Amino acid sequence: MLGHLDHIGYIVEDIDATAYKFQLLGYVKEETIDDTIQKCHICFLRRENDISIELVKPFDDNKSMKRLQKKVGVAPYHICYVCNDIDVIYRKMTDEGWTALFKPVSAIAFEGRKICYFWCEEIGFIEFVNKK
Amino acid sequence: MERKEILEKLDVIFNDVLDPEKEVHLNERSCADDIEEWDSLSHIQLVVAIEKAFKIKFTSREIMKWRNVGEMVDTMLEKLK
Repeated sequence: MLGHLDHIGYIVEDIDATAYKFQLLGYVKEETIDDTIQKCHICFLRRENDISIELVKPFDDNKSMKRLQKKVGVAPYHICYVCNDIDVIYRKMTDEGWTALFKPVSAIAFEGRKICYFWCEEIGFIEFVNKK
Repeated sequence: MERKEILEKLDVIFNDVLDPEKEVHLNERSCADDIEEWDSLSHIQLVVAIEKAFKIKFTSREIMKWRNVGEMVDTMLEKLK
């Protein structure tokens, strides 16, 4: 039901500056996407046979993420797993005490595949992305 | 603690956490639709701040079921008894 770890999400202030440092580690930078639903600029960094890095820069009017950025600086703030059925995961996670930030929604950065975010005090944020 | 006192404290927390363009004045019917800065992520940030300020813990079911501030206060009153 729960697939592999897909990516680690970094909240950043400057996508190009952070991407450059990861490129030195062998990552390849993809095109930056403007996700108007999540109100973030998103850029994936890929490396063969490795977990991807997602750089997330909040839009200027995305106050809640700006607040998170101010608190944690440039830092990893979520991990994302692939799943076969996000609706099943949604029910399971909420049953087990995780707080959903929203119900599964289509995401621009994943070609319309559905994502959802959960939070718990002990781990922080986890994202799931549907396989198809 | 009474509802009025909780609402007054929540007012301070909401304004502190959300840092809204226009100062927030909560009432029992206030909900996320009324306050631009109150989104799903800031909801978590509010929960963490409220738990810390009132020394209480919410369950995920409680956090996800509230439709307005009045329902949040109902939960808080139960925990503060």
